[in-house]
Amino acid sequence: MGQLEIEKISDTTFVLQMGPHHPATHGVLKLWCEFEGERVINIKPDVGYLHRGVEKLSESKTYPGAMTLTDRLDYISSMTNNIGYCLTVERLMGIEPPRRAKFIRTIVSEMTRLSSHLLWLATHALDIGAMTVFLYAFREREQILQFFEKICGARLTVSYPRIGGVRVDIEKNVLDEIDKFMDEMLRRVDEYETLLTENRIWLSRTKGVGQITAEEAVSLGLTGPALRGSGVYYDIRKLMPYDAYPEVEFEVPLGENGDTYDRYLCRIREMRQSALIVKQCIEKMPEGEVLSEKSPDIDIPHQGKRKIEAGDSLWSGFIAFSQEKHDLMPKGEIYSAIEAPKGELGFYIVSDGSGRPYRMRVRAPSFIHISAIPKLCEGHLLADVIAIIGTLDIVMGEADR
Amino acid sequence: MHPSTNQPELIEVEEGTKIIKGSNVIITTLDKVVNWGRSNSLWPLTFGLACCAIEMMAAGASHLDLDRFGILFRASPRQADVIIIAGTVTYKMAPIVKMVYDQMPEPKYVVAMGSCACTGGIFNTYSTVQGADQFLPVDVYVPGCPPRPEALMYGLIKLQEKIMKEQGRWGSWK
Amino acid sequence: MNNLLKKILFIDLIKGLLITFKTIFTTPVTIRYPKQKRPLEDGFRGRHAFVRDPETGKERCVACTKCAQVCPSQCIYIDYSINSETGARVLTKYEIDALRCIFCGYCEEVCPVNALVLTEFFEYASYTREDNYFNKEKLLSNWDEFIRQYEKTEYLNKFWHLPGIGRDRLPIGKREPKAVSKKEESQ
Repeated sequence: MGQLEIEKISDTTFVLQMGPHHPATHGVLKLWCEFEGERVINIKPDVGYLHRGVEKLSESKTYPGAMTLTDRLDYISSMTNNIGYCLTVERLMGIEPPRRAKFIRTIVSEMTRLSSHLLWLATHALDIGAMTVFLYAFREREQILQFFEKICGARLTVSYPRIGGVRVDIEKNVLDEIDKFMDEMLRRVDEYETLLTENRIWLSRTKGVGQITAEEAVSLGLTGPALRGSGVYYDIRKLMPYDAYPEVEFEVPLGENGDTYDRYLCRIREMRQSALIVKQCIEKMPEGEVLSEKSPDIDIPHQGKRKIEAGDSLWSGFIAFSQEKHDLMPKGEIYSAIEAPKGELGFYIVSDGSGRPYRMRVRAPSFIHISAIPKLCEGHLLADVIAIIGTLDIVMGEADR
Repeated sequence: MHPSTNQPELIEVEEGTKIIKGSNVIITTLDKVVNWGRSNSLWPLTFGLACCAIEMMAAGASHLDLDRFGILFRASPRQADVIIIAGTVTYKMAPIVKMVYDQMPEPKYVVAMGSCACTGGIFNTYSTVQGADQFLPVDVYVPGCPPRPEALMYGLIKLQEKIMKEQGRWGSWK
Repeated sequence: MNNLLKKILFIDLIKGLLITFKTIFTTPVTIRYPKQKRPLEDGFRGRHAFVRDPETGKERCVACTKCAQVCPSQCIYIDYSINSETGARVLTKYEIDALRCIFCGYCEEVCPVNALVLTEFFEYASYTREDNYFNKEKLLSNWDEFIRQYEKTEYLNKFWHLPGIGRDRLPIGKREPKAVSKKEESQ
């Protein structure tokens, strides 16, 4: 509504500028829409309203310091962002986190998936007109955030994982509480399904809206539930397993038609699978330390953590770092990706051996999903544009970076 | 009870508010009535920019119901009294924030929520405005990255207290 | 046929309405915030404070400047002088811009003497920027304010002892951190 202008181009079409301040654009996305009557002819997304320079800024931070920036990329699922970043740096340095840390990471990333999908369900349903689901989904989301606060002391921007493990251990009683909550969560997902899956208003708003075939989805570069809704089997947790995913059993839900309704069903089934993965992980939880011996200190980046002696100077590591030595990290470049709730989240890091990344590039799923909006909206009504933005699950912090 | 002969007995119920004994008449200043009305129906604008917007939504959802304070989110700036700058303001977004603020009717208030809106936070970069107070008159700064929903509520309560202290901000001579 | 019957009888909508109806009888989850407060979890990263050492009554900081190095948002400013007799560092300036802080907790984690802490306190919204620009005295008074309303008798921050990490890989001050007791505080 910030720049709501209606202007006439020709006698038959008119232009509507939607956003960047619009409650249904999920952030600060602006859409330049051309309509004929109420049918969409052309849509051009305009991004960059939340460009904060994260990639450039990370070049001036140390490797552990740049992790706090990844929290603020996809702020709904900061845990998976951190894990994706840490995994990339670990692969660059050749560190393997301890087994317990791997299981903890799997638990927290699946809980993040739950909370992200809950927020998606809440806002998507609210946009389409189901107010009750918003209140119900936020009720459960708040409980998950409460668990995050118990684990690491923050609700949204957690900074919990660490290069080579995780920051602090999860206590036994918290794990039991999480286990109990997951049983409740499975019941709650059934509740959401009763409210929406067969509801005639929901069906008529989502069935056949934003349909996309498997070939088109692949060629547009969609990932995550947006791709799996079209029936393409692509899940990094299965195909390129990381953390404890090879040791747990789960299904990858697939859709058939590739419309908004199928993507909704995919995400709902994924929520069930996430709850089951968390339960399995808690059952198999090994004992031991949570941080690898080789993990770098958060204050001084260097290969391997030193044993700190009684008479050790606090400055010895800092001097090595401030002299811009180029043997602190292995040189080279690396790309690695994880399955974030939105899709494939990849980090590409170039290292020149110093304590700071030479270049960091983020392959953000939301940015690529925005490019699919014109294709999905073709020939649909104005009201369906809202549903399509909702179904792609866009977060602008990640898209604009 | 003739006014010239014997004064009516006044009982002070709270500071600045008196009640005439034996009747249903309450005497107070007009300032106080106006401020009381304003502070208990603050309607913020649904204006999310980044991370803090999620906590703002959480403050409005089931666990911490903002409606209890008479705070209802409105989607149009024409109906809003307070704008909560929830998130990072970039140079591309700042003119739009200003335009939305200009569309709001007087009296209007600004709450800067979170580190980014207060000072720019960690994003000390070429594209980020270093604090919403560079182009808006901020009334309350809520620190946190992002602040808890309770912290936002505390900030809004502080804003209510500030409104209660206002004097003569009504009528055409405000 | 079955589907048609379901559609005519509004089965889908009635099922959903039954759930909302059932929710009337559950206990409400709403917290009435100013009167009733949700207990904060141990280790919540809130307002900054300097621990007032119960023995000396002063701050514990030794001016090692590790926190300023590690801070990703660079909001800590430290200045120190060196005592010519003992060679020890004397803290002359310690300032934190709380409005620029991102509450990652790195500073309290690297602090070798557990001097800095992010307390479980979040009610510090202000009318001006200056109110949340803490200097050394303000940080100490933040601690006093926090410990006064703290419910337990002893305070031990989660990031002072870091469970799950090998003992010999921590700085000496972090291996067996002493909890700050409240009783001595009031004397």
